[in-house]
Amino acid sequence: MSRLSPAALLVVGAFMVPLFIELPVVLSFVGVDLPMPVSLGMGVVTFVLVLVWSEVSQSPDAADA
Amino acid sequence: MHVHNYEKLWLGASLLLIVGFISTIVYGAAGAGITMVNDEGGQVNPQELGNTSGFDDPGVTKVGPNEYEVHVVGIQFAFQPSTMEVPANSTVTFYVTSRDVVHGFEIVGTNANTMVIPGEVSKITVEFDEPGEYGIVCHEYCGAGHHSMAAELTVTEPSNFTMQDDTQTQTGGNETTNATATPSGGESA
Amino acid sequence: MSTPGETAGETVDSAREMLPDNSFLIQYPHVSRVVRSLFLTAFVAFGIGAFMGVLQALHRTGVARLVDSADYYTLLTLHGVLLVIVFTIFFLAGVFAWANTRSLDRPPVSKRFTWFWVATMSVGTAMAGIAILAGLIPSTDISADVLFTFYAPLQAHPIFYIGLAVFIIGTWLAGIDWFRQYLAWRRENAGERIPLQSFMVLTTMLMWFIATMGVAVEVVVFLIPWSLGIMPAPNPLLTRTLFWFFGHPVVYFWLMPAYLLWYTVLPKIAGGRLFSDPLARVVFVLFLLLSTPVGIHHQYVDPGIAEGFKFIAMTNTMFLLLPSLLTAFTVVASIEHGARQRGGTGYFGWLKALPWRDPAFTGMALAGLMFAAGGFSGMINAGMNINYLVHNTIWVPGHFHLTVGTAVALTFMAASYWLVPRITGRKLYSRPIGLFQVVLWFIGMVFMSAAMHRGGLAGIPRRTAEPQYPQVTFETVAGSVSSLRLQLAFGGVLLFVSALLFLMNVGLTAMNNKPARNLDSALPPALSGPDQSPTVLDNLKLWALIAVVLVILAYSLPLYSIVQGAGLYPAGQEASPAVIAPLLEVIA
Repeated sequence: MSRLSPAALLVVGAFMVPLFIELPVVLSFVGVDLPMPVSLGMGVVTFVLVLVWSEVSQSPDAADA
Repeated sequence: MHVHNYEKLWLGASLLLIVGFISTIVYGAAGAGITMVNDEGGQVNPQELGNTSGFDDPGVTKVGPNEYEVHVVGIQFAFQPSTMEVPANSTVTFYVTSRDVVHGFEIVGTNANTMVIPGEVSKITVEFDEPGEYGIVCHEYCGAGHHSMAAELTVTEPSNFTMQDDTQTQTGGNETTNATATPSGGESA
Repeated sequence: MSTPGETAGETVDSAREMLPDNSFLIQYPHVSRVVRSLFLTAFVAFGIGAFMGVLQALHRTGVARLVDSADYYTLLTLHGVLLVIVFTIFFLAGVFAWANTRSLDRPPVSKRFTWFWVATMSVGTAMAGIAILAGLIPSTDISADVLFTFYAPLQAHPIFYIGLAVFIIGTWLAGIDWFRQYLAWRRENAGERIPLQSFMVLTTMLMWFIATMGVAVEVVVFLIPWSLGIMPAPNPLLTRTLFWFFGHPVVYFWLMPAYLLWYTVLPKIAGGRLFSDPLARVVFVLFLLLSTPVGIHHQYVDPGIAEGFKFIAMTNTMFLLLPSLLTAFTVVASIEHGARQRGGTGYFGWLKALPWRDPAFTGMALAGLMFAAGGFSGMINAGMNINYLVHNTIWVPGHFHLTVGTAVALTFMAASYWLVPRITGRKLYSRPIGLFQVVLWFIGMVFMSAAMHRGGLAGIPRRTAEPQYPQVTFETVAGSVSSLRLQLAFGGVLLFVSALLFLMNVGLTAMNNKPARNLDSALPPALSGPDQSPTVLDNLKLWALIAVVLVILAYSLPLYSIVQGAGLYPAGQEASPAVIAPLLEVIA
């Protein structure tokens, strides 16, 4: 039993794109140099974590099944 | 007319934002002294630039103790002159016009930026605090070779600066340099 | 580039017979046909324009240069004209024809007149398009490599300017058609409030009539006679100023139909009702008043215009933020109301109750979100002195790809998923593809627009085939210029894929034999209805008059001083490219 529908995952993933594109710019203001590929990579990892959280259910019923 | 309270609040905040924006610009003009490109440059005949004082021999001229004028002509697809040199910590006034179509004039990395319109003279005054190499690009589409239209501006240490075709020597330049090279009153890019 | 077309729709198929009697298609089959025809032209232009767009994204970043750099500008002209003139205006004409008919609940006065303006707009488009495309064929003397702004003394073939003029006249006739439809309604409904959608159509068209005066004078009085060799070259600063007299309000002409959809269709899709009808009217009146007397803000760095005039334009521009900020409130409030009607709770929890699976909703919501970002970069452009940093850099295309390229274009695409079934009676081919497509547009635009804004801050110019110069080093705030280039090209490719998916989905919908279901075109009344607002809001003559006065105040002195400066026909202006021998010189 998924927590998020495919549509919700798509929308959540879409909202993460601007965050991870702008992250290096925001960090540059505090003197941190984060390369863009690293930032995008962090975005992918975060999305995978969301995916795992969504798909791996904690409910005992599902675990039994 | 019924207006919801939240809506009134939002309306008030929006008006405050707008007035705030206008105030910062008024401050920029009055306090920080950023002047706009305006109608001071006057008009010229684009076909008669060879007989127009300043544009007949484009380039850098010294007009005061620490003041320079640079006349630049935009043509398809180059700036005349293509290289310029001025000393740091001086006041440099650019007069830019076009012999043919509409061009642009942007000193990359600064806020020195103007349209170049045939028949009109753009006048911009700039102060360079720090020596360095600056690129100048045409930023308005001017024809099939637009992408090759660029020039070079060198800002040299006042002590090393000599006018190329002039016997006047540079005196009284301020040797201290500021942290960044920016035109007068501008924010750093 | 082939675009899946819509079938002519003349034959009554079994699908249509299953539609309810109150559906728009059954009530107004003729208007539906007009809208289909306008949408078809819009989508063909969109397909070609999008293809030009991806070629440019790959070319200027140096990823793949498939054409000669000299031809880049022909493609750029095509991209600009097809997307912001043909796609937007044909689509909005379809939306307005639908909205005016639906809200007045009566058809236009004359079928022949309606087809006459559709034909006029189409003929004008074809003429301008042929002139631009001929620029790719060296053996013809015809070209129009003048970009969307056609600044003299760059010159296009006369057929380009004549086509533009014919097109503009077509849009005027369309406006007249909608006003006649309204007046016919008024005769039967004396004393009633103008229905909201019709009010929006009429105020927008009034704004358009005023705004297009500038470009009409520029093209008809100056550019056509000049390109035919009858008159000498006009004052370049004067024609620029006349262009921007039109060039700023035209952006609101694109945006107003998107606002119409956000105010009237989006709340319904979200499951709720418009928050406030009176405020919606106030917003459209403000756009009618303030859209035009601001055009000089495109000329902040023009010589020959005094600082004071620029300052006035800047102040008006800042106040033009107000209707958009009000719209942000009303639209979000309406969506939240819809979410709570659907069972949403909590401060932010209601967001989960929104119909995110519906591409029409998600597309419009993402478009609105990006418009907020575009609005903020627009405030930077409007700031007279900060503008120096970004004027004519690629920051500016970054800005307007968020506004017209997303707020408008993505709203139009999302609305198509809702509207096309209503004017064809056919079921949307695929909702999942539609959802994926609108989200892909959002993601592609985030990549491309962010790279453009940051490239602009580094000083990289716009409108350039090869922004790589031996003399110039561009320094970015974060990341390298080459990574920005890749980011821009990647975003451009995503956008092109999204455009193809959209055209495919709409094309397959038009050919779908499954009947559309639940085609309710009725829109729920607003939470605060029009009866709560003063009737003066509906006094269109008054607002039009004030708008004209504001334009005269903002423009008479600048135009006078420009003409005083260099005159109407200054000496020494020569056309480029010099293709057509000026008749005057032949005679002399």
